Amino acid sequence: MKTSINSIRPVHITCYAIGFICLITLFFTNKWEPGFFELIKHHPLFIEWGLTVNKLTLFLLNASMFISIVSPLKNEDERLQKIKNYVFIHTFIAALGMGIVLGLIMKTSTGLLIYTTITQAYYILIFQICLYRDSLMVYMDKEQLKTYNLEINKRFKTAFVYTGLSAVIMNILILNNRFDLTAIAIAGCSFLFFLIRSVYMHWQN
Amino acid sequence: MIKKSTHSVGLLQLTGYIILCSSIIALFFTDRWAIGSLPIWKYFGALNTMNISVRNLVLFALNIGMAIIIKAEEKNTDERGVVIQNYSAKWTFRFAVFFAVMMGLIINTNWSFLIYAAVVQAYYLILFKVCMYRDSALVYMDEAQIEIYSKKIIKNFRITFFSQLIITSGIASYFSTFQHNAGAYNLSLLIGLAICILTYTIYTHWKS
Repeated sequence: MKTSINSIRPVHITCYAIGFICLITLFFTNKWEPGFFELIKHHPLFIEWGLTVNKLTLFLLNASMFISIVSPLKNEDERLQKIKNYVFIHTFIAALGMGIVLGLIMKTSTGLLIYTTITQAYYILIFQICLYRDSLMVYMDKEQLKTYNLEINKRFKTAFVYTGLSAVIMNILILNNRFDLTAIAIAGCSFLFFLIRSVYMHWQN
Repeated sequence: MIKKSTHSVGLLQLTGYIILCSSIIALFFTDRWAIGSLPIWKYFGALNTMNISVRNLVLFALNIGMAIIIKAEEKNTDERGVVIQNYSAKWTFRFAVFFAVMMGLIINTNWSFLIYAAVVQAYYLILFKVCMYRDSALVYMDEAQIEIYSKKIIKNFRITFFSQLIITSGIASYFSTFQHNAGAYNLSLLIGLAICILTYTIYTHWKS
């Protein structure tokens, strides 16, 4: 099959621009926090909702990402539809697995907005890689996928051991055997590991 | 013409249902089984140190049970099953992201991910089962056709939506003014929204 050119519409460009601006503003939200809602801060609804500048920027970021995902590209052919289906299922499973494991391990749950930011960013990343590299994984059956996964797992055995070791070393040296922080360290390390693995998996034709 | 595939419950699916039902029942009793109350807990030292509560464990089992059901559903699928699976995964992903963004903005307290994952998986299962059972025509439509169809359905749903809005706002104002429980506002809004979305999706997919 041919590799179709990634033809983005003006909607996507505006969405990416808004998302980029939101990402930059996230670094400065701490300075804007006091005094920003001075007029409407004492309204009971805002106290109850707990709206902050941080939350609003995260919401804007999520909304722009969501619109860029949902709105169709210029040339919607059969191959693009297949890629979309594959990436939706892949991201759905990954997001659910991450949510379940995080919910079990971590004592304090992080905000849902951060979680959705991560999942949507993952979706966009995998979609762009599949589109750019025309990866074979999109056209595989379930059994072929399973065998391919096993093959990749064999190659990543040493990397997996190294991530585990780094988590343990971080626990001993930096975190002073604090279990609540160790859970976060393990989660971060495994997340990085799976990110690298999935990018590698889809990059290989 | 596409045939309706018969619904056969395998052994794996049965275990999933058993885990699901038992964990839902166990959710009512988690307060009594808190860590340290039973003599069994002294054998689980890791749970004490990592602060994993019994409620979280039961919710984890619930999620695993649902995941087993979804996984077992995949096994006995023909070509039509794959199409339905693609469709329902796509829409569930969109629903999940939208739901999470709205909840993250509106609700002040952080929710546990386990409840969120359970809600999403339940939505996926309902969507998949309804599409499989009714063989709904929505599955085979393009995006443009779906847009036209959903506009038509929304017209039918206008009355229901407005009545639900009025009822939920009434309940919320009652709670916030007379009971001095402002947190109930968000909860009633959320429950109203959830019921509306559920009825809407089932109605749209039931009409084939």
